[in-house]
Amino acid sequence: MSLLRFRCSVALLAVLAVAAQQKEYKPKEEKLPGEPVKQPIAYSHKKHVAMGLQCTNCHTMPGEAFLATYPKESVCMGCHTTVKKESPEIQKLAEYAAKKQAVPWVRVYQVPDIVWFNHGVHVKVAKTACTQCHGEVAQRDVLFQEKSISMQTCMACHAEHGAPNGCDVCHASQ
Amino acid sequence: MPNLNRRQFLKQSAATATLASAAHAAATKREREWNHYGGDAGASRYSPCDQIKPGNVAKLKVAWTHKTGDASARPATVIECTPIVVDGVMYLTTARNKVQALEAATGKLLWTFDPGEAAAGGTPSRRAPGINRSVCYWEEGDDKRIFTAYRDQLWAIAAKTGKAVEGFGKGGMIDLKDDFDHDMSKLTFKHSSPVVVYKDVVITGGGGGEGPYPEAPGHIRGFDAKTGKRRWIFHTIPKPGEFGHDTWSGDSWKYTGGTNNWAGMSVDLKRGLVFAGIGSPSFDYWAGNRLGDNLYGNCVVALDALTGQRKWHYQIVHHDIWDYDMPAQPALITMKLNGKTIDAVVQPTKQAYMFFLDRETGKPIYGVEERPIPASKMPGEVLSKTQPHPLKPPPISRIGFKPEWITDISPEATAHVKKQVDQLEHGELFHPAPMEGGIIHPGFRGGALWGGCSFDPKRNTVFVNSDETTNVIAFKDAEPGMNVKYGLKKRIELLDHEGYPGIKPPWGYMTAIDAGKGDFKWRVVNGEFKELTARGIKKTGTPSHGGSICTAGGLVFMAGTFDKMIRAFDSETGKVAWEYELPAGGFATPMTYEANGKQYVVIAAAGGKSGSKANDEFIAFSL
Repeated sequence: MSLLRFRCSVALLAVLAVAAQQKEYKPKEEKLPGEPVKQPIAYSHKKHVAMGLQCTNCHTMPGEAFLATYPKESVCMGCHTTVKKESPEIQKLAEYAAKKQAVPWVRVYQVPDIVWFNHGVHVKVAKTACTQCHGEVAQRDVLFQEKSISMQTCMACHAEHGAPNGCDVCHASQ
Repeated sequence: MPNLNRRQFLKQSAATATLASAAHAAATKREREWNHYGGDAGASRYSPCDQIKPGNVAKLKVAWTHKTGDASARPATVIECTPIVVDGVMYLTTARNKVQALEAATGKLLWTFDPGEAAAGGTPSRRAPGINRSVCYWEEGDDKRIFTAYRDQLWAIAAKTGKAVEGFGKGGMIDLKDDFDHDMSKLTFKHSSPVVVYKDVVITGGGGGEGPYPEAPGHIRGFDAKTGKRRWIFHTIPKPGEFGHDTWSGDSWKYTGGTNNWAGMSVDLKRGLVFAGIGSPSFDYWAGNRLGDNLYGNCVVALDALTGQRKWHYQIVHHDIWDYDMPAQPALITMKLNGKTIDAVVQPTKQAYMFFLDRETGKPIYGVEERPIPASKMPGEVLSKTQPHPLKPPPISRIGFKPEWITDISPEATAHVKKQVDQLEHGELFHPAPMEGGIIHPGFRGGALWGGCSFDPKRNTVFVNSDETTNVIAFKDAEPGMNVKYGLKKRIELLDHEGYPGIKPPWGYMTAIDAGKGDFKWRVVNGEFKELTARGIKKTGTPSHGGSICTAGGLVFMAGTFDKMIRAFDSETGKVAWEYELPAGGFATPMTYEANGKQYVVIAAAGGKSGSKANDEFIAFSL
């Protein structure tokens, strides 16, 4: 039907090609494992998880729950006002917090904007483990893309778990 | 464009003015509004409004704008809605498929109804909102309702208050997965165009997609407009004992889905008939597991609107493997041909043919020829030996693919595309792609798409926009869980190294068809990529989303191109009489109406497609 009517089995390449036509959106191709992603603040998921934090403590899913969000800097500063406050990395964080600026974290995983992927439904309703799509984040000091988030991967997982695979599940456009 | 001398020009202008004023005088207040998605119940997308004319359209200015307030960049929202206006109130669907009512003259918001939130018990919906291109108005006495489809739900909303109508279904909603004569426990259902209504029957289309995973079929149903109770069902994949069942091999009727009306229906109020274009059966690229012609896939069907009984059907593609589903509302027109007045149905198609069918019988008006096509090389695939080709009008885009059509906008572009084409099979229209890959042109966006066509009865002219998109597909063994033996390894557009179409421009047209001759009256290139024009490349046109409307004032309005413009074409000549750059792509069909004695033209300017900026505005223009 329409340009964005992504049928089952449509390769991610199709998304790339379509996007290229508009010259405003060029998602990168998946190369797994990806390169380590340099962040504006050196943040270790491994250390924080080891202290007992759960993924959803920081990455909340408010409202419609499509997005798993980044924590507000003030949340981080709840601990780091006192914990490791002399660290140069924490001082960077404090600076963002003082200016009430969001830390410009670099996304490791990002589905194309035409995908209505709902984190809340996957995590809270379907009880999908975060590791299913994001890999062993709890073991990493520096993150890199280690799991495919291509449409084929999503659909294969849906098929395996008996979840629906109709286009409208993830795409609004006809 | 013809060259007119002064006398001819005055004569033509006078004729235009006479036609327009007569049309305006004869039209009722409601006819000068826009009561249906397609303008009228028959979807002719014609308005008798005539204040705005070629001579003054350049003076159009923004009268009001309305922001729906629910657009997002990620996920990217789109609005494909054409609002309706009834009794001075505009009803529309938003970026997240909510329904809003506005004062038509001012754009002032009257109410908002959020079906997603209502279904989720008052909390934000966590489902993708789907898309819907408009709503449907119904009234009986003081009972005035708006019907809106939200993915797999049909809602009845009180037109005055925006509250769900309690007596309809459960709390104002019926689940369209229920009463469907199919096991829907693991399947999804979507309804992306507005429902239609005849008397007290609301008629729904929609259904499943086209695979290769299991999909729902697209049965058409009639529901009681007051209670939501099902009145009738028409099986678009016939059950045993029903006409057409024998066009499905073995048990394929059980496991095949698709065959849905996704682009909207039209209603002949005089005859009590509903007309629907039906989509491809699933899977729509390999069909070795559903041999036969597969009725009513790729058909136009005429049904009794009160009973669902089939009056006639016409199949436009037999046993489709090209995703050539019926992509637009059939337009019901009354045309003049050889001194006769004919009630016709016009079905635009992706394959760039315009089928003109007799509304009473379904017989082609200009004639159709069944022409042989090549056999498929795909294992298990058995194609129909022939496919229908209308004798008139000519195709509105190029059909098939020839190497001499490879893009020529630069040597690099030519080389890049030629390298791809050299690896791929191609041929005439309906050439089947082999396992290793083939070219399909027109591609899956057409030709024509959901914008359909418009018809000016006074000028006996059909207007239609069309694209020149080219697709490449290749196959591989199916993945676990798929419903078929072969899935797609590749489904891409044929593009050059910069992302422009791989076929030689033009890439988009607006065409006027003289219904009295079945020939083009005029044809112009529609839209441009400004950066290419700046490089000295002749205006190329762009693909388009949405369609045209036409008016007694002698104008054809159309947005939808990727240059974000809305344009008014002179109905007689195709000359662009006015254009305006929208804040985001106007990927919808515009509409026009009169309120408080003034004519407005409205377009949704909401972008969001293909990575373009998402917006949430409806913009009204007036003199």
